[in-house]
Amino acid sequence: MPPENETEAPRATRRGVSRRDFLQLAGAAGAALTAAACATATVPAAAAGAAEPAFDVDADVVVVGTGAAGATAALYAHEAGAKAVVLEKAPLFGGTTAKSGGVYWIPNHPIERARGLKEPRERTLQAMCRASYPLLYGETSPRYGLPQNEYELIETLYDRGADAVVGLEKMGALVSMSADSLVGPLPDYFEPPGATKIVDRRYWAKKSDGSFGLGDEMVRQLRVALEARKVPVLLGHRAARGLVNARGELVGLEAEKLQGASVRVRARRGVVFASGGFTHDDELVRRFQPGPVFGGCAAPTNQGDFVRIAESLGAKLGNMQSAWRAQIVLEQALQFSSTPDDVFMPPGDSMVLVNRFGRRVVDEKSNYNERTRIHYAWDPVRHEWANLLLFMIYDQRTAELFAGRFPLPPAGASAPYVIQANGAAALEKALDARLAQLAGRTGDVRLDGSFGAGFAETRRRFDADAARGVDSEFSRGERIYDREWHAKIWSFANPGTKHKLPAKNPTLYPFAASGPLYAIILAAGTLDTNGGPVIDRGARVLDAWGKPIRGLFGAGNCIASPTGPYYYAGGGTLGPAVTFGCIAGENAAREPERAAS
Amino acid sequence: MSARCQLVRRERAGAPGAGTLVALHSDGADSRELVALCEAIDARRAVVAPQAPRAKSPFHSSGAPDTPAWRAYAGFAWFRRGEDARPEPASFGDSLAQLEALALELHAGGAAPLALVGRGDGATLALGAARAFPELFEAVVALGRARPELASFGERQPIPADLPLLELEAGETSDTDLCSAADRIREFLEARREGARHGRGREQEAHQDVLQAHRHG
Repeated sequence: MPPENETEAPRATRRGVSRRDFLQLAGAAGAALTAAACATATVPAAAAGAAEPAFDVDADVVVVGTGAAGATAALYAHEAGAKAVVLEKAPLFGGTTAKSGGVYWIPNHPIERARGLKEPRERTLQAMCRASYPLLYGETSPRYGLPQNEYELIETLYDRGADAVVGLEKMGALVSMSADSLVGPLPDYFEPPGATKIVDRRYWAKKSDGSFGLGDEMVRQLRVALEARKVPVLLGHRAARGLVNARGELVGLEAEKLQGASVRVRARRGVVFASGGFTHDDELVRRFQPGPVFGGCAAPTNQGDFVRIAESLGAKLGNMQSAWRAQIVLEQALQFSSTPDDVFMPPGDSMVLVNRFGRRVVDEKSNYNERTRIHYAWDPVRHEWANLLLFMIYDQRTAELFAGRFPLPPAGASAPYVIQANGAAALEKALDARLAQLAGRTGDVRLDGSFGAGFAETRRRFDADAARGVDSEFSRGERIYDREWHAKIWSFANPGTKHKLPAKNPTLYPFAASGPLYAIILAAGTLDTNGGPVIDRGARVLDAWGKPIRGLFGAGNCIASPTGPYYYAGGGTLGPAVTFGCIAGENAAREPERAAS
Repeated sequence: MSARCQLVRRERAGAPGAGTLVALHSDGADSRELVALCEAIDARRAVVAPQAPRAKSPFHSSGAPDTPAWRAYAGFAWFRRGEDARPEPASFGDSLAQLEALALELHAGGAAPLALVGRGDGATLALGAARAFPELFEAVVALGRARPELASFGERQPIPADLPLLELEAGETSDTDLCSAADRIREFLEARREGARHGRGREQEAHQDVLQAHRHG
C-alpha cells in the first residue's frame, strides 16, 4: 500500500465544529485500519502478464457494503470457493443494519414449520403479490397479474429466503430465533381482508446466552464469521467506479479512501453491490423522490454511490421513487440528516397528527412506511404539499402516560423540539412562531389562517369518536397492526400513573378539556431509500433492455427492492437483503473468470 | 440551519451567579445518571444533564422496558464505536456539535460559567469538547475510562494547558457509589475559581470573547 499522504489537518476549529470535519476524520481512521488489513490478508495482484493492468487488491468476488446483504454475500461467495474481498465506505462495519432492530422477515422458515404453522406457497405468494402491486394484481391472472421479473423476485424470496438464513446458521455465521420471543407474535404490515390470526414471520439473531440480539448483534455474528474465514474487509474504502476490460466487461472496481487515495480492486469473477440507498444525497433525492426527504436513519454514508456507478455501466433503474419511509422529528433532521431515531408510531391516545390547516390526514397508528407517504399529497390549487409538515399534538395525559416513548421526552426531562402552550390558541401561536424560525429550511411552511377553526373541529370530532371508541375519519385502532404494535411496542403505557387506559379502543382517548397542549413537528424521512438498479431472480443487475450485465450483482437497499415499494412487515428490509445477498454471493462466485485486459 | 441544541435534557436550578454543571452520562445510561453527583458536588450550581441522542434499542427508543430481556438494550449512547474501539466520527461529531450548541445557549441565557462533567463515553465527549471549544468551559472533569479518543483528532488539537482538567480513573467513581468522588471534584472546581479570582481580568475578558463570538456566530 502506498504510504498515507499527510493531508491538511481537519478543521476542528475552536468554534463551529462541523460534522463534515468528522467525516473527513473518518478517512484517517479508516486508512489506518486498511493498511493493516491489506498487509495481512490480501495478496497484491500478481503481475502475471505484462499487459495485465496493475491492481492493488486481487479477489474473485468483490463485495461492496457490510450490512446484512454484503456480509451474507461475502460469506456465500467464500463458501462457494471464491476469494472474496469486502469494501466498506465507513470506518465502521455493519452499515444501516447495525443501527437497526436487526429483524429479518422470512416466509416459511423451519422454525415456523416446526411449530405447526403452515404457510402454503400459493396463498403466501398471492398475498405478497397483492401487497406489492395492488394495481396489477389479479387473483386468477397468470403470475397474479405481475410482469415476469417482478413475479420471479417475489417467488424467489419465498423459495430461497429460508434456505439463505438456514445456510448462515449451518455455516455458524448467524443463529436465528423467532422475534415473537419478546412480546408474543406481532402482525405483518399488510393485512389481507378478514385476517384475524397473527402469523409472525420475523426473526432476529440469537445470542450465545439464548437471549435475542438486535442489528448490532446480527452484524457482529456475521463479522466474526468473515474474520474466521479470513475474508478481508477494507474499511474506509468507497467504491468510486467500475473498471472494464477491452470487451467492456466489468473486471474490478476503483475505490477511494475518504482522503482521496485510490485503490484498484480486481474482481476476477464478479462484483456484488450490497451498499446503502441514497437518503443522504440531496441531488439523487431531488432527481427521483416524490418530494422532500428531510433525512432518516440510514447510515450517513448512504449517498447513492451505486446509482451513479450502475448508471455508468448501463443499468436499468427501478423503484427510485420509493423508500422504506418513516416520519422523523423535523428539528432533529435539520441538525443532521442522519437522525438518531425515527417516529415508528406516534405514541399516545389523546394525540392526533394534523396538517397546517389543523386537519387530520391519516390513521396515526398505521405503519410507518405507509403513513409517511401522506406527506407527499399534492394540493393542485395551492400548488403545495399540503402535508409537508405534520404536527403531532397531544395533551398532558399523553405526555405523562407515554413519557419516554420517542419522541416524547422521559418523565422529568424536556426536549427542545417539543412546543408547549396553555390551550389551543396559545399553541397555535407558539407553533407558528417556531415554523417562522425554521422557514428557510422548509419552503416557508406556516400555519394557514384556518388552522384554529380547523383544529377545533378536528378535536370536536376526535373527542366524540374517542368516547365511542370508533375513529369515524381514519378507523384508527381497527386493524390488528394498530392495536398490537401500539400496546406492545411503540406506545405502551407507563405503569403507576393516575390515568385510566381507554376502555373500548386502546388507541383513542378524548383530549383534556383544559390544560397544557404540546406539539412536535414531524416530516418525511426514511430508514433508507430502496430504489436502484433492477436485478433478476439470480441477483444479476439488468441493463436498460433487461439483459444481465455480466459480473454485476446486487442486494440490499442499493437495488430496486425485490418486493417493489411495499414493506411486508418488520424485517421486510433485511429479509430480502439476506435472501438476495446469498444468491448474489453464490452466483458471483460461479461466474467464469474474465481477463482484465 | 437550526442551531438550537436538540438534546433531551434534565435541568435543576441553582443559586444566581453560581454557574452550571453540564453533566454527560456514560454509555447505556441516561440523563438521570449524574444528577445526584452534581448535587453532591455543589448544590448551589445549576445542573443541565443532556441525554445522549442514540437509543441502544431502536425499538424502545426513549427507554426500554425494565425487563430482563431488554436490559442489554437500555439507555443511550453518545456515539458508536469502530473496530478499534475508537469513536465513530459521524456520530461523535454529531454529539460534539450538539454539545457546543447547548453550551452556547447556556452562555447566552446567563448560566455561565459552565463546568463540564462527563463519565465514561460522556468523559470522552467532554475531552473532545475540551479540545474543540475549551473557551466555553471554566473546567472539565472526566470520570472513568475516557480513552481511546477519536483517531488523529487528539494529536492535532491539544487540550489547552490553561484549561483546568481533572481526570479520575474508573475505580474512583464506581457504579455503586457515584458520589464518592464529589468532594474531590468540588475541591478541584473551587480551587479553580479561587485561581480565577486572582486573575480576574483575564477571566472577564475570556467571557466577553465567548459572548461576542456567539453574537457573530
